Amino acid sequence: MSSLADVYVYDAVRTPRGRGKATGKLHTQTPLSLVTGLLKELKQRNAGIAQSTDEVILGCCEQFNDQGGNLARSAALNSGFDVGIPGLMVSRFCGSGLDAINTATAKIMANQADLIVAGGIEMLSLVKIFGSGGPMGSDVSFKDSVVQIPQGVSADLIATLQGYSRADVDDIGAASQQRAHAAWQQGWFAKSVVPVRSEIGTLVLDRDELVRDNVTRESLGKLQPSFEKAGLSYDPFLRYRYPQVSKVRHVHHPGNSSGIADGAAVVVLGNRRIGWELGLEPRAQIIATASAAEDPCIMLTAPAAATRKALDRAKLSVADISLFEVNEAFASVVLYFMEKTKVSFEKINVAGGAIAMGHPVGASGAVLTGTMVDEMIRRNAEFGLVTMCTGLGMGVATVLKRV
Amino acid sequence: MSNAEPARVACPHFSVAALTEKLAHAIETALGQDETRAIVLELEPDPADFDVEQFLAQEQLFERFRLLLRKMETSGKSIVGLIRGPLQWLQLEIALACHVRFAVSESIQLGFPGLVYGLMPVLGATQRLPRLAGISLAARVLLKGDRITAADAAGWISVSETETAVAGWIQSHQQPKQSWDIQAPEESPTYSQATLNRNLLENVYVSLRRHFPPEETAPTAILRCIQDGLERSIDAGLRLEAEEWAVVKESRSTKNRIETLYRTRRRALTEGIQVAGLDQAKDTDGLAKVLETLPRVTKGDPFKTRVTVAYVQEAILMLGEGTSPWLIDNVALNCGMIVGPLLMADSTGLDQLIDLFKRSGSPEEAAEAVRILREFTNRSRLGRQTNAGIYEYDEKGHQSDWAELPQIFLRAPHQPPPNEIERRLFAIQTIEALRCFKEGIVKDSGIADLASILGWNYPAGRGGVLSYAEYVDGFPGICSNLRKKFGERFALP
Repeated sequence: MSSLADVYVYDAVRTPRGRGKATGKLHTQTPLSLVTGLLKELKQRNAGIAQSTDEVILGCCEQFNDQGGNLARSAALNSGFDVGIPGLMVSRFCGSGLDAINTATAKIMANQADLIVAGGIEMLSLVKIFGSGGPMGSDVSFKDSVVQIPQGVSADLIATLQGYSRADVDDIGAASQQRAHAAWQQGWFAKSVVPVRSEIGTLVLDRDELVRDNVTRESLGKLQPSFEKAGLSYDPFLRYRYPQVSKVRHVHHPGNSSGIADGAAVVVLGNRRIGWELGLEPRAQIIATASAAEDPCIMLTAPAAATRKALDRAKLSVADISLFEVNEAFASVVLYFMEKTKVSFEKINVAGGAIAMGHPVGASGAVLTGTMVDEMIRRNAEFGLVTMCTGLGMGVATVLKRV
Repeated sequence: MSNAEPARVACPHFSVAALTEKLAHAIETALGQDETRAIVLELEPDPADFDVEQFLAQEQLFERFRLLLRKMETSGKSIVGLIRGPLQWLQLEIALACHVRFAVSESIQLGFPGLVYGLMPVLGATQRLPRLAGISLAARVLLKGDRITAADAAGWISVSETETAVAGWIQSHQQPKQSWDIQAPEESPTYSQATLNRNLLENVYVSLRRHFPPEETAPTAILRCIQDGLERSIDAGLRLEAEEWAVVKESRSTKNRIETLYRTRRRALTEGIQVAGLDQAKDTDGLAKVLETLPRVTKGDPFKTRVTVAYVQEAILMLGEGTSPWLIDNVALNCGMIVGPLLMADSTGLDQLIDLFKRSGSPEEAAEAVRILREFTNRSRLGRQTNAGIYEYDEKGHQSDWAELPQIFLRAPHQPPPNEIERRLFAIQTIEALRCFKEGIVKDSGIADLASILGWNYPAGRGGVLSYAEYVDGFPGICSNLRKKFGERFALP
């Protein structure tokens, strides 16, 4: 029996993230065209991968309509990858993109594949989150058992239970915008962002559409909470799971919650041999992955648990990790992660996050992995960790090492 | 019989027996006659209160009528329902299976009053009503027990001079079909997986859980039939409803509701037994209203006073132990109480409660409860009457936290688990009720159960304050454990 293979990240690209609405710049694109654009870019950058890839694996939260029907295989075919390259779709809500990478990692590590293109795609301007349905929305008995509430109310519930103030969450929101703005100004995304162009080559979008300048805690303080109305319906229902809560404090709003976005991202993963054969330069190594789950009602707390599991597997401690990408689904998710892991905010989301740049749910894990690789190289960080919260209370994590 | 003359079948009203061999035979005969093009079902008005025994007595015919109504719908003959007065339950279920319904007046009332007894439709109303009336109206009728009028049902009941209208309709509708036999479920406006309907049903679910906890089987089953049935064919939906009914009729909550709210209440009414609230709960509608009435602790009725004092006192003791008031009240709500014990305390008046506690049978606990209450009354916090008690109240009566409370009763760092709070709150009521029974304050266990439901909105699905000893598994063991942990007041009498 052969030993486990080392898994390297050879390349990582993403589209700019578009506003996930009908007015968004990417809205007239298709999920297939976004992934196709990235796969074609990879072909250009990495000679031979269109023939040598064992599989394309994509994460996507809402796999229906234009995002259905195995977009991974469709995109491989559409991009001129060899007809013999199959596609696999994975789904774990917002964790899907990171799970695609983790699935690819497991295959390569176990010597069941040599080279995989893994990533994620989501066009929220085209499909609604939870639009593909599921028992948490339609099975009465299951709903009773999980006490499902809208995720914005879950984020507010975390803030209520943990005592995060409006200023606390606004600080995270403002920092996300300030860091993202600075990262774009300094060209930190230059290597990973591939502009989206029309069929005739016209530029559609070349930078994250949602990033704003001059955002401060004070400016965010003027925004009205987004989930008060939902709270009117769900706060009384919440007593079935959290009877101790008198009233949920609604602190989240568009300025401290992830932006609804369109986008795609892919990463080239492979073992040492294939990299050598194709002349690819390893940029980072994936050394451990994990998933975890906690209460589905509060929903967004499991990144800390997934992080602990992944670090245990990597035989590392939180202190060994220089950089963290913690998906900013909501500001309270980041605060909760910091509280549970004792990680300082200085190490988290150094180039901004989904609050500023948007959260194309199934793609975000792959986006963050690419950002992590770039920042580890830029900062010469030895270890980095990417983690996502997901629907139904799950968390996913990936530990990377500088090569 | 000529084509112009439809077969007429009289459908007896509910109080007689809506489903009979005779009726089944009459419909089957008419359906079997090749020359009969149309059948008019004359649905007899039924103003009487809902008769649960009659309903259950007809169960052996449910499956036959399920098949018969479906056969009627697909027979190719025109099936007309003629509504001359109020319709409820099985008659209304028959009406829904007609191709068209005519009513003589728009004020005629229609409804399914059995939810209060833990019952659900059995002949397809969970499938046909939402398909005809839309999900919102169907949810109101089936899950809230609302009665509607023919005017509310304008889209599926025609109000007109019936004989002319019937003849005209039959003339112009050859071999009619139900909409659900024409459209695939996913093409129907009531398809439950359509985004709009999914959102609508989510709202129905959340609203349902404000009124009924998950342990109440019938409302959950009805919503499941609507939700799951509307994404399936009508035949699959009907099968689903029959399967759910098989579960509901055997459930504890339904059996308890029938036993206490129907049988015992009828006995009390027939025998003239005095039970507080019974006079307002003579018919099903009155009963439903009484079950929505906010309870208080009162001095008038010794049984109610004894048990509710014990109940509220237990909650006050928990408050003194540093338990969050919301945790205590919400646990009670989650079990089906209409208000929590601390809100009940505030509604009663904390000064009044002190008076009641002083007279209660357990001096040690009462003294402690009085000491706790004095922390409020000494600060002129008397309850809702002063907009300040255990909670704060705004001008609309909405409750909120009293910010100083955690300083006066230090919040325990580890709050008790909800199931322990539930056991304390419910066991203490049953133990006090058993004491009353032993002392002869109540002499009839069924009446005691009824009095608890009508008197202080004890959760009807649990059967009543004495039935709780059987509702919960291992009641003696629960009391024994509580006694060891919290004291002699949990000793079984």
